[in-house]
Amino acid sequence: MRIVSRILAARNARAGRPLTDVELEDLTQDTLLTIWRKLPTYEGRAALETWTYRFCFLELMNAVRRKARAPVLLDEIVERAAPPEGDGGAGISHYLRHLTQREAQVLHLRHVEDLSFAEIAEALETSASSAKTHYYRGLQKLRSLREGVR
Amino acid sequence: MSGEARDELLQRALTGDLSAPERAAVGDDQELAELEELARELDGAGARERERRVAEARALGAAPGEARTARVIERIARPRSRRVVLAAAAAVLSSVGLWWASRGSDAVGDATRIDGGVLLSGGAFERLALEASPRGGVVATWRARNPPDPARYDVVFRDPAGGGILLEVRDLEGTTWTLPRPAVASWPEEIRWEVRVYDRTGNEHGFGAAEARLPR
Repeated sequence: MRIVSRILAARNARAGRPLTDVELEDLTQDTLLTIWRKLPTYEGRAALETWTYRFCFLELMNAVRRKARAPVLLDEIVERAAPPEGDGGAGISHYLRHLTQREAQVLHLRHVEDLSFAEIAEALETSASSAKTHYYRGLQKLRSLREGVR
Repeated sequence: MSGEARDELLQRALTGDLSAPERAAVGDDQELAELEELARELDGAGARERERRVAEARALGAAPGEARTARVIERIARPRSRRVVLAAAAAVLSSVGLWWASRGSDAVGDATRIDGGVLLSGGAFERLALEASPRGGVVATWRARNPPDPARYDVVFRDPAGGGILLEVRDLEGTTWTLPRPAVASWPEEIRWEVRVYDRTGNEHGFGAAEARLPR
């Protein structure tokens, strides 16, 4: 479970260190407790460490939002957390760079951070139906781009 | 079906809002199949990205608080040692003693009133305090009178109604512990908490307990 503190530290660093070391320590405790409670839902479809990643991201995102009291920092987290451009055709940024910022955020939160639409809506301070609409539009846009290439 | 209704149907299918019979009724739909394939590709790319990030994190040096976290986890995961069993027995005995001392009127026996809580027992501590953390949790702070050097602390938080353990943290080097916010939210308004101080060889040097209202 040491990976939890390391994931939090790594993601915090990528987001521009919005949390201090002391805040990260507290967050590690909170996240471990969350994971402990969610452990019965682990189905073994991914490595345990990879499964914990989702909770680390959610807790970090919520902590930054509480601290900043503004959704704008979330945008920074999502943007900065995305891998750099040119990471090869298989990278998720290869897909998302063709979309509007909001569509890219929704698809990123859905597929990379593995969040539910309810969680995405909370993160983006919007409704679940709006998140779903952006998701659908984003997917359709990617499909059209692929059609154009064929 | 109008274009708008079709979009709504596809959106519901892709966001998990269609029941199995509804999805079956849609049948083979080329556009939906392509969108689902795209979503699966994104899932795969997202999973690879998560694995990459976890690998990146694993390769990092120690993170803030990692040593403290690891000690707590190891201590909790370890089979209960004889010392812990003895400590639990001592806690039960001291609880009985406390009940005996405090039964009857409002008197608290020889307990001392400190920091808004009642020090129920154990002169080994001069301070046991719960304070609201600016970050939303509750910070527990304690100060032993003559602690060994180095000192280790075990802290147990209990529901005063039945004595059940709400949270226990063991083998702490510091004299403060931030109670996790999600846990505190579901705790009773008043809790009982106990601190034991040990030396490096595990010998107990003192015990203190207090009942206090949780600052919210």
